[in-house]
Amino acid sequence: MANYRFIHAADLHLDSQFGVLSAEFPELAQILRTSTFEAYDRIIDLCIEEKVDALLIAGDVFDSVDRSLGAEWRFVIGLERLSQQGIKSFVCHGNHDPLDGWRAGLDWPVGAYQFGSEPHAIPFDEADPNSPLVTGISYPTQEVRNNLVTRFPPPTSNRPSIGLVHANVGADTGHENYAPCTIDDLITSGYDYWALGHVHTRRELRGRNDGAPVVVYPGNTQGRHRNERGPRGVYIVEMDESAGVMALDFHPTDGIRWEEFECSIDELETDQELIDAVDENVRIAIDEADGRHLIYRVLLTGSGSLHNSLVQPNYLDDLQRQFNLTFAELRPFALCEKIVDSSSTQFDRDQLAFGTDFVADLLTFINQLKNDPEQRTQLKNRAELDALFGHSRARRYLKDSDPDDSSIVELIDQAERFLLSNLVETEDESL
Amino acid sequence: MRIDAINIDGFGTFSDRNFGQIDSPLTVIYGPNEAGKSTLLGYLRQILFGFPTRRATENNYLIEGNVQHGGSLNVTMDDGRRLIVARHAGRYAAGTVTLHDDQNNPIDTTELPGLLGGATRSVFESIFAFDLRELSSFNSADNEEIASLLYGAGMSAPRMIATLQKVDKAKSDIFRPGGHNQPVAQLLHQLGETESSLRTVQNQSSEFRTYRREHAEIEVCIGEIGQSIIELQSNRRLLNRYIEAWETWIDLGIKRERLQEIPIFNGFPENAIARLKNFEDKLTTARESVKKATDRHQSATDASAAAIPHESILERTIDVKKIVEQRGAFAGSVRDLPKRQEELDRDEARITEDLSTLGSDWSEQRVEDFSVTIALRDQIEQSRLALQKAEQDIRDQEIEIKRIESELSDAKQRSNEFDLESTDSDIQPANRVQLLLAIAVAAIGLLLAIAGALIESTIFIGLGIGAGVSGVLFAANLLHAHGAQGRGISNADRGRLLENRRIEERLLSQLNSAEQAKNQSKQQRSDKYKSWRNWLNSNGLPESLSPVGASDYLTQIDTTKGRVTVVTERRNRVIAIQDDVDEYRTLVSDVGELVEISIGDDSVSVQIAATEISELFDSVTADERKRAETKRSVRGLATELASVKRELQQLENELAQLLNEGGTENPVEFRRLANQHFQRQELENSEQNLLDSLRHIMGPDYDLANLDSELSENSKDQMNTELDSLDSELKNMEQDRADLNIRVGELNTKISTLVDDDQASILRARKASLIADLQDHAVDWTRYSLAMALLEMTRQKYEEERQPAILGRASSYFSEFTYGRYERVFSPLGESEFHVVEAGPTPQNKPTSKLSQGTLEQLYLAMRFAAVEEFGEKREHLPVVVDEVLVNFDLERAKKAAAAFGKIAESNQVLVFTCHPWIRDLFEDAVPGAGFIDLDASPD
Repeated sequence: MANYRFIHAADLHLDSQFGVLSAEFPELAQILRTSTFEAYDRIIDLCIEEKVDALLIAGDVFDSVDRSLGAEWRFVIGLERLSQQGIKSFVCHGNHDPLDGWRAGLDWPVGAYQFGSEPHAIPFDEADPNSPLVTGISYPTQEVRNNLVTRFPPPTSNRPSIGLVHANVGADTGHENYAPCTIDDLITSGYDYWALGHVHTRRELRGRNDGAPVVVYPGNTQGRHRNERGPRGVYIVEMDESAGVMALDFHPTDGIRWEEFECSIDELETDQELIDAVDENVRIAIDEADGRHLIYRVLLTGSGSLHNSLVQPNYLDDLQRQFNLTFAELRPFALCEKIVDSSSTQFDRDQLAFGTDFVADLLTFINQLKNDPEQRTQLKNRAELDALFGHSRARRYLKDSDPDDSSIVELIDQAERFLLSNLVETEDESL
Repeated sequence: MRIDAINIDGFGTFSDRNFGQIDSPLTVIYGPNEAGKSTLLGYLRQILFGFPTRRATENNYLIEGNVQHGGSLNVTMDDGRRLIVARHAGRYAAGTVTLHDDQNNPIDTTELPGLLGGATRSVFESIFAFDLRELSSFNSADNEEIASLLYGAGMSAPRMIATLQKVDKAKSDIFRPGGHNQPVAQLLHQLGETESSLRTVQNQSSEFRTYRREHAEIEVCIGEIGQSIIELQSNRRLLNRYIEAWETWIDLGIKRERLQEIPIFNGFPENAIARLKNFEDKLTTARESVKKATDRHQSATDASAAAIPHESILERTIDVKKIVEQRGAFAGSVRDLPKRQEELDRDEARITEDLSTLGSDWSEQRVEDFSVTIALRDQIEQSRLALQKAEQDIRDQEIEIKRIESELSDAKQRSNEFDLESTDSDIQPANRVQLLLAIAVAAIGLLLAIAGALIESTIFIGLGIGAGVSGVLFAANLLHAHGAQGRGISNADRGRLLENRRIEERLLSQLNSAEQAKNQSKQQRSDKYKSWRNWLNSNGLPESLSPVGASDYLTQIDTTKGRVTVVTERRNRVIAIQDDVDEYRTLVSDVGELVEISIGDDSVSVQIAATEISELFDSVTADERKRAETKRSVRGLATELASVKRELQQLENELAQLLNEGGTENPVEFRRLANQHFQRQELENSEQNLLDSLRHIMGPDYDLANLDSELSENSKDQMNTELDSLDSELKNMEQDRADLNIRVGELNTKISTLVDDDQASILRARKASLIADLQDHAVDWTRYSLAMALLEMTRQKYEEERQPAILGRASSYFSEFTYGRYERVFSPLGESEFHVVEAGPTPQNKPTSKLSQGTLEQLYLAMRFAAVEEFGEKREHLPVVVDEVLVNFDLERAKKAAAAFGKIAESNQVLVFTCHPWIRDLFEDAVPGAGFIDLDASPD
């Protein structure tokens, strides 16, 4: 009874660009810029070390529709390395690298298969009638809003079946709703393993113990921003021609780890105490990154006398510079990407809200805002955000960051802290 | 507080001037210009709150001359206390204040602020005591205390405003529509530049495609040229081969012509002449072999039938071998026999001597049969010990007997001494009987003992000895008793005598016993000797032997026995040697007789005969072996003969076959035909070699059948010309291909450069970074915008819902003054300017700066009334002093204002300064009970 092993990867986003501090640290910019390629090289190395039968990539190989020449070049070099070792590669394309995007027209090596816009089945091994059959489909264009999974043919019986597709299962609200499908579509498909891509956070929608099919998003192979924290990598999957998925093991491939940690200012009174507290967290995070580079975000929470300093313009920028003086010189480096202040004043907010003055009215109003989307909309209109987000030149860069309602709530909190620190007399001031 | 009287010592134009009995709630103080209304207003303010400093802008109303600056006020407090507040110029600029009650008792001046309801000078001057100019400057007052009244407790308007400004600045510092220097604008600018650069760089993609396309086209072209070159090279190689093959092809033609002339010998034997010669040579050799084999066979057959002299000896081979083997032994035996016989004789003489020592009845056989065992020697030793003991017992008993006899002699000696002294008496008849009986008993005992000894019964011996001894003892006693009785000696002597007699008896008894024992021992010794002799007899030994002698005798026997054994062995050996000698002689004689060799009686002749027999046997054996070998070779030679004959026949057959294959029986004809055939073969071989050469030249894939047609149409020169032409064409093509390869190399370099170019990647990274910065700024800007909106919306709400009570009252007064045209006044948060709301279907909100002067003054008057009411609700009702505040009011509104003053006067004393008669009249009409003071009138 033969076992077949393959690596399931997705969302390589080769040549992705990191929007952090690259202007301030040109040397790091190079490291960041090559990180997606290095993650890809690690996948190829892993394929060869583990002597797998195949590499499956579930879309978004490239970051941009108009992928770069170098990206495609390096991608094909990796496929050639696999081909030389007799390892097959199966690739489908997603919304970031649809079939109609620019391509350099490089020849793919023998044993590397690219799925087209119609589902098509290719075996691991033509000569082995028991080897798994990979059925895949690529996005013809970026905007694929229909269900691709239901277009998959029923699997061939008596041999392991793998579906390879870039899709949004269950309309994940955190991601663009491309090629939406439901988990039931996948369960009723009859396939043994669904190798999915698109969702960047690793998820086993159905694990080995849930019965066939096993449905997996491996997540992307390299975290690229603060919302892609923690280990990123691929799955090594072992299939048996009769027993289905035998083993499902995650292997990290990232070279740069993104983290975020909270630091409470409750007990802190001086700048130095704050720096020490953050330093301590950074050292722990460096240890946990296990030799990888670290890019971290500090979330300041709690309340205390430091708060009023934190909300002063440029204070956090200076603090960030200070951390980066210490850690960005290390190799592997630890880069503070941003310090976010979620701390509050030492005032008793409830007590302030209980009064009859302006501050009380402000807090009462904010309390109402939190429970009333309509009032939030009024506030948003009043704030005339469109001046920036609708700005003729800015809007295309900001279309993804136009704050939604939940962001507005968070920003209201931040605004409240800023206002209180300015409106309410502190004990220090009163002295 | 009400001012009951004003007493001026010196103040401005006033000197020692009193205004007493001001008792109306509202008093209009009327006077023309310059009459001192403003001075009086200043006086009231300064007496209550102090003189101004020299640097102050306020008029200090200093008076020239010797009049003391200052004065006093008689006041009645809300609680009814009547006080005098006095202030005069003093050490400090503010002057020296004094406070007395109506009994002229001084009161601590620190109570003064409390008496004034906590109002400061500015509050008093802004709200309670003001002139027309001050009326409209009300809103410029930034006094905190007033602000707190007007803007509400806990609200810090400057903080709100500062915050608002801070937020606005922070927001504008990030982004401002139309701005150019803010980060957002700059980022957008940089993004534009970066995208422009990116577009330029991305044009490289089209270059890449162009290069790739050209690359592909050239690759096809190179492929085609390569194919043409291959074809041309193939043609050139073929042409070259034709040229190379030319001479060979000509030669082939010649050979083929000659072949036409020679008939074809199908199936003619190969190597015919050599094979014929070979057959003939072999036949000659074979015939010689047959002859030689026949001769060898005949001679062997003859040799195998010849006889051998004395062949019969071979029938006695075993005996001959014995003779040979035992020849040495025989010589040894003959030599050894006399010595052995001599040794035997010597030993036999010695044994004879030994036997005579042992005794005449001893023979060798008896000695051999006698067994000298350890048991035998033990028995001798035991007998020796037993006899020795018996002798010793007898000696011991004899010594005992001698001792007893000695003692007895002594005792008898002593008794004899007694006997000499005593009468010897006879033994009584009775005693005689007893004595006889005792002797009889002893005799019987003796007889019993003897009988016991005879029948070897210890019982009888014991009984006999016992009876004997008893009898003797009894008899002795009788004799003794008789003796004792008979002697009639003294009792003592008698005692000793009796005692001695008893000793004698006892010794006598012992003597008897010892004698008996000695006899017994002797008997025993005798028995033992007897037994010893019996033992010697039973063992066949002489009776005369003592045990010691017997032991020595046995040793002698043992020695003799050893010698007998030796002699026996020697005797047997001599016999055996003799037997061997005789047997050998018989054997030699027997065999010798068969082969006519005779022997004499001496052993030497036997030995000579034995040697002759041995030599003869060896000779005959050798001859026989040779003959047997010959017999065997006869068979082999016969086989060999048959074999060579067969070979000969075979050769003859093969020769016939060969000749037959050549189509003749005659070897000479065969040779002629063979020569022709050989020539043909030579030609055919040459033809084949030429064809092989051509095949080698033309290559394995070329069909040589085409060669004739190809070459017959061309000459060699023509082909050389054609070859030159092909070379030229090939050179051109290879040059073209090299040029194209150079271009491919250039294209590869360009493509590699484009592929390796990080510019696009770097620009995208920069773009991503700029976008991230932009997004961060957008978040910050959004936060500030929201903060701004929060402030503004709260402010609006606050302004609507949380105006201080004072403004509500002011609104009421203002509405009344304006006959309802304006319904509300409010304080926009953080602004120093109030706003009013004009009544109407859509109420209009306008800042005070938009109001006419008169309306503005009406508003401020309304606000003062409101403030007065507000102040008075919790604190002292201070007097309201106004100087010409109604002059800009139209008559209707002035009437309303005057009425309002009247209403205020219900709680607070009101002093109205005016120079206008219509105003005085107005108050007179509007406020019943109002008081009037004319300043021009003479002082009180």
